[in-house]
This record gives sequence, C-alpha cells and structure tokens, in this order.
Amino acid sequence: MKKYFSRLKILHKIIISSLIFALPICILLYYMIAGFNFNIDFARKEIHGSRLLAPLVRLAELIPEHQLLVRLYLEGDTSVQEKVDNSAKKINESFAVLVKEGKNYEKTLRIDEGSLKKIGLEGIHYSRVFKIWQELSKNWKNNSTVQSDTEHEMILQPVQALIKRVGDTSNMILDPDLDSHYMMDVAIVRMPKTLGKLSEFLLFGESVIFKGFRSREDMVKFSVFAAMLEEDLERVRQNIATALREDRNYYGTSKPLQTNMPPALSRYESSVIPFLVLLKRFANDPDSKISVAEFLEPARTLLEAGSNLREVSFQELQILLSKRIDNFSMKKLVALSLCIIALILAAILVLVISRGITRSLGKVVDIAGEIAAGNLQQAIVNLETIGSNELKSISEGEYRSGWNKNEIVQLFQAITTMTSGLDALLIQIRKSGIQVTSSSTQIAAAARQLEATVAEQASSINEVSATSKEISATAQEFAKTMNRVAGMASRAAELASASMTSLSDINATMKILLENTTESFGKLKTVDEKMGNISQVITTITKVANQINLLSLNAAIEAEKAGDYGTGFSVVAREIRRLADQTAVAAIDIEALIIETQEAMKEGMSAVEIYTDQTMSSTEKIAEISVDLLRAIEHTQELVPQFESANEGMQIQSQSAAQISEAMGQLNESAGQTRDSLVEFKGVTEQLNEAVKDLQNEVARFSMSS
Amino acid sequence: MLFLVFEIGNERYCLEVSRIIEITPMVIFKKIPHAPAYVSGLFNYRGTIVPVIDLSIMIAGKPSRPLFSTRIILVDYVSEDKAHHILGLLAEKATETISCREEDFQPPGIEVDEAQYLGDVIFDERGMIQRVRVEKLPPENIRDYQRDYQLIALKENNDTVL
Repeated sequence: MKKYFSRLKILHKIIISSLIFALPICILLYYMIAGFNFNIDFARKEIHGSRLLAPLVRLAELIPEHQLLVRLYLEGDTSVQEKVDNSAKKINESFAVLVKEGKNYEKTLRIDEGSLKKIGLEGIHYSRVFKIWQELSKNWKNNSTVQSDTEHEMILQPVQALIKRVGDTSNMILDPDLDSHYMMDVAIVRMPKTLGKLSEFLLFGESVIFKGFRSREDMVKFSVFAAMLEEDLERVRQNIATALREDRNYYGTSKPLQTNMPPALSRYESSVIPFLVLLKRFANDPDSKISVAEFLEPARTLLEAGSNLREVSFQELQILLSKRIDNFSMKKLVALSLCIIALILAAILVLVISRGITRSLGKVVDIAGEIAAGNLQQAIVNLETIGSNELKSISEGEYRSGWNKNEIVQLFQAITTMTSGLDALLIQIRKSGIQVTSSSTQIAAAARQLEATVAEQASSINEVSATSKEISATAQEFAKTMNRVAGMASRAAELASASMTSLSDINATMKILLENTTESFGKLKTVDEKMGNISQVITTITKVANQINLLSLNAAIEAEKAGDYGTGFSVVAREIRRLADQTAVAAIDIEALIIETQEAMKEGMSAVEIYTDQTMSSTEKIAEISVDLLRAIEHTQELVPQFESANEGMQIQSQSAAQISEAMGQLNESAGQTRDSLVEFKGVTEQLNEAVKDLQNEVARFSMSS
Repeated sequence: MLFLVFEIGNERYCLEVSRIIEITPMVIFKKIPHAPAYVSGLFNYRGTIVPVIDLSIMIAGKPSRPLFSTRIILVDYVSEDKAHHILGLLAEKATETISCREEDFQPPGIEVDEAQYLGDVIFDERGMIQRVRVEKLPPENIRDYQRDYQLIALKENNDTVL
C-alpha cells in the first residue's frame, strides 16, 4: 500500500489526499442536505396535511350545519330549503376539494385504503364518506329526523377520524417552531374544536329552544358552554399573541401574519361577546324568552367569524410553512453552492499548488539529473538562471529576513549550496583520491617489501629450525656414538691390557730376530768379498782378451796396408782375434754372472742391513708403543666417566636444540601469520586502491569548475 | 777391401780400413769448453794432439758407453788444403772386420744434408751396414775450430816440450 502510494506522482498524491479530505466533507454535506430535506419534507408534509385538513375541517363545520338545517326543514320549516341546498352545495365543494387533495396526498399522509386497512379504519376513507354524502344529499327529504341525524353522524364521525389521522400523520403536532406551532394549534386544534362544539351546541340549543322550556340541566350546560367558550377565546388569544411575538424569531417576521391575524382575531372576539351575553342571559335568567332565530343569529355570526379566523390561521400557517420551506431550501442551496464552490476552489488550489511544486521539482529533477549525469558545470549554470528567475520577485530585505521564503525557494537555495558544496567536495575528493592512491601504492610497496622480508625471515627461520633440528639429531646421534665410544673405550682398555702382554712377547721375539739378522749380515759380507775376488780375476781375463782383440785388429789393418804381402798375416790375425773373442765372451759371461750375484748379494746385504735397522727401530718403537699403550689404557679408563658426563651434556644440548627448533617453529608460524596479515594488508591496500580508483572514476564523471 | 765394423745404438756402420791409422782403447780425454757435444775432447797420440769425435752422439744423439769394446778409431783425415790430420772417432763394438768389394755397396737413394758423412749401404746375413765417409767428417763449422785448436794444442805441446 505504502509502496503503491510512494510510486505515485505528487499531483496524484495531492489529489488523493484532497479526495480523502473531500469525502467527510461530502458526507457531512450529505447529512446537512438530508437534514434540510428532512426539515423541508417535514414542512411540506405539514402543508399537505393542512391542505387536506382545510376541506375536512370545513366539512366538520358544514355537516352539523347541514344537519341543523335539515332538521329545521324536517321539523316543518320549509323556508330553509334554500339554505339546505346552499349548505349542500358548500359541502359538495368541500368534498371536491377533499377528493382532489386526497388523491394528491393520500400516500404521503397514509390515508389511502391500504394504509387505513392496516390499522382497521378502512371505513373512514374519504371516497366512502363521499359516497355516503352523495346518497344523503339525494334522499335527505325522505328521511325522518332521527334517520337524518344518524346519517349525518355517519358522515361526521369518519371526517373527524380523518382529521385526527391527518393531524397525526402530517406531524403537525410535532411542529418545531413556536409561531407555526401556535398557529397550527389555533387553526387545526383549537378553532375546529371550538367550532365543532359550537355546532353541536347550536343543535342542542335549538332543540332546547324548540321544546320551549328549560330544565336546570340545560341551564348548567349553557353556562358551562359559555365558560368553555370564554376559555377557548382566551387560549386562542394567548396562542395568537405568542405566535405573533415569536414570529420574528423564526425565519423573520411574516408580514401577512402580523397584518391579517389581529383583525381576524378582533372580529372573532367581537362576535363572541354578543353570543356570550346571550348565553349568560339564557343561563342565568330562567324567565327570558328567546326565539330560535334570535339564538341562531349571533351564533352564525360567531361561526362565520370563527371560520374566518380559522381560514386566516390556515392561510398564515401555510404561509409560515412555505416560508420555512423557502428558508430551508435557500439555506440548502446556499450551503450546497458554498460547499461546491469551496470544493472547486480547493481543487483549483490543489492543481495550482501541485503544478507549481511539480514544475519546480521538475526543474530540480532536471538539475539533479544534470548533476547525476556529471554535468556539474551545466547544473550550476541552470541553477543560476533559474535562481535569478525564482528569486527576482523577492526583494533583498525580505530575502534576508527569511519570512517570505517558501519551500521551493529554500529548495533551490539548498540545491545551489549543495551543488557548490558538491563541486568543492568533488575537487577535494579528486585531490584526496590521488593522495590516497599514492599513499596506498607506497603502503602496498612497503607491504610487499615487508612481505618479502618476512618471507626471507621465515625461510631463514626455517633454515635455522632445520639446522637446529639437525643439531638436535646430530647431538642425539653423537650422544649415541659417545655411548658406543664409551663402550668401545672400556673394551679397548680391556683389549689394551691384553695386548700389553702380547707386546712384551713380541719384544722378546724381536730381540732374537735382531740377533739372527746381524749374524746372517756378517755371513753375507764374507760371501761378497769372495765374489769380488772372482770378479777381479775375470776382469783381468777380459782385459787380456780385449787386448788380444785390439792387437789382432791392428794387425789386420797393418796386413791390409801391406797389401798382398800381408795376406798370410791377416789370416793369423783373424785366428788370434777369434780366440780372443771366444775367451772374451766366456769371460764376459762369467763376469755377467758374477756381477749379477754380486749385485744380488749387495742388494741382499743392504736389505738385511735395512731390515736389521728396521728391526731395531721396531723393537724400540714397540717398547715406546707399549709405554704409550699403557698410558692410553690409563687415559681410556679415565675417559669412560668423562664420556658419560659428555653424553649427558650432549643430551641436554639435544634437548636445547629441540627447544630451539620448537621456538623457531613458533617463530616461523608467527612469521607466516605476519606474512598472511601482510598479504591481507596488501589485499586491503589493493582494495583501497581499487576503491579509490572507482571513486576517481566516479568523480571523473563530473565536469568540475576547475 | 777390408772394412772395420762398429755399432751405434743397434745399427751397424763400417769404415775403410785403408783410412784407419790405428785402433786404441778408450782413454780419458781433455775436455774442450764450449765445444759441441759430439766433440769428446783431445788426447795425446804418440806425441800428437788428436781431437776425438763421438760418433754415437753425432749419429744417435747419446754418448758411447764405457765398454771394453768402445774404442778410438784413429783415421787419416785430409782437409781441403790437402793437409793430412789425425782424427779420433769414438765408437762401440769396434771388434770386427768385414771383407767385401766396392761394387757390393748400394746407394741409399736418399741423402740428408746434415748427415753427408753417411754413405752407401751393404748387407750381410745379420742386416744392413752403412758406410761412414771420413772425408766428409766433421762438419764445416768444426774444421777451423779444430785447426785453431790444433795450433793451440801444438803450442801447449811445445811448451811442455820446452
């Protein structure tokens, strides 16, 4: 609902609210008109009733009169034939009026046959009464006195019932205004009653006079009637006085009422007085004689005056009622037209206001559209032109005092302020955006560096952690190794003490070996000397053979030089040389053998010498070794407890390394977290950068003053 | 003709016996400073100073071993001015002679400038033997030197005589 309402344009909204406001006004108007109509209908009904009552009341007067005349005629006074006809004629006229008015108003006044049947009074319908009358008027001469009276009663009773009925249904009793109420009382209640009674009394009086004597009762009736007549007169007078007095309070003074009523009343009063005198005399003086004509003469005058008063009252009542109707109709018309004019004015006002608002808002919307489209410059120009138009009519003083500012002007001012503010703000934003971008870029770079540093740190920590783990592992390994070494050391100590005995054995054996070697070295030296001797012999042989060879060669050369003489000699020389060669070869072979033996001997000797030396040094070394070994054993035995303490230290170191590794792990985690934070930070910085870029893009949409 | 056979390394070479004055055993030489390596030194041959060239160094590049069969071959060397000099050649295994004719020699088919003293080749059951041409010994640059030294040697000799 709210959604639909908010979708509507301002014009529609104003129209809807106006309609909502107009609705109760229309309802109130309806009720007011209905009230007026009710009052008008009320008055109209009274008029109708009065119209219908007029012939009925007239009939109620005329029928007793007719009855009286008929009775006079039937009693023998034929001179009243003419009067009877005249009366009948009047009754016929009244019936004609009754039938005519009755046809018009029987529905509204509920005296139609259907309505009457509902309350069981169908016999009093005017058409039936009229029929009875028609029969009566035809046959009246043939009836007896009693018959005539009965038939007249048959007409009079329904007429009186109809009067009562119409008086009830036409709301005349409930008349709200004092003047009309009293007039109604005079015209419909008081006067017909008085006149009816008067008619009856006339019949009674005539019968009393006709019989010629007066009883006591009759005289009392006369005086009572006189008193009643006086009382009625007083009542009528008071009523009329009240009506005349109150008249000006109800719809203004009615001129005909003021002018017509007093003469009618005075006439009635003046006609009452002689009849009263007559009645009083008749009642108080039993001897006084009076004829019927003398009795009837003032009574007829009184009747006429009463009828006249009643008629006048009827007329005035109708005038008052119609005046009331006119008044209410006028009021209704005025109220209606005022309301319609007000509504039309309101509608026009609504249209004008809404159009003004819509137009101004349209301008504002255009400007806002310009601003939204980014044409801030265009918007400022538009604002200036519009502002000069809008504010032209308002003087500077009024403008300053502010009382004459309406909302539209305020809106334009506000938008002008806003636009200039927006312009300044956008420029500021652009500057700030650039600053923020550079700052965020710097931050991002710094964060990246920091991240790299943290990553390096993390890797370093990793390395350290790994190294410390390795140290821990190595320390543990080392501790194990130490354990083993300690075990081995104790075993080595045992073995060393075992090897000590073996070493002393070896030492002894080595000494024996040394002696043997020295001995064999001596023998070898002897052999070498002998061999040298042999070699010298062989060398000598070889030298001789060589000399012989040389000699034979030179001999051969000389023999060659001697030519043919030297041929034999050359043969000898060749033979000698061959001998020498064989000797030399044998000697060379022996020499080679001896030299080889000698060399082998020398090598053997030197080897034995070296061996001896080595054996000696070995023996010494073994002795040294056994001393060292003894010390080593002692040291080894001393080492075992040291190994244990070292092992404990190692374990502690291993634990410390493990702790370091753990701490490094934690540090690494922290570094990782720091790096994650930095990554996030970088992300945030990038987002900031993005946001600033977006902002700058947004700002770039606006064309600004600078 | 008769040729003296000797060995240098494992190769065999030979010399005309007609050129040889005498074969003597190896002695200790007087060293000549700054002389080429193949000049072993000087020695006194029956009152004459004789320069000795080690053929082993000259041909194979390594000195002769001090064997009994390593001998000094004294040859008659005729210089360009037709003067006769005695020259000692040191060689290993100079213990045998071979008898053959001049025609048996065959040219080697190749002549090396640095070794013009090596001449034609003959072969027997043990392999090839190359002839050493004494007249081409020693190389040119050595000869004057040799002569000068000879004079010096002579002077010394005179000094010793005096």
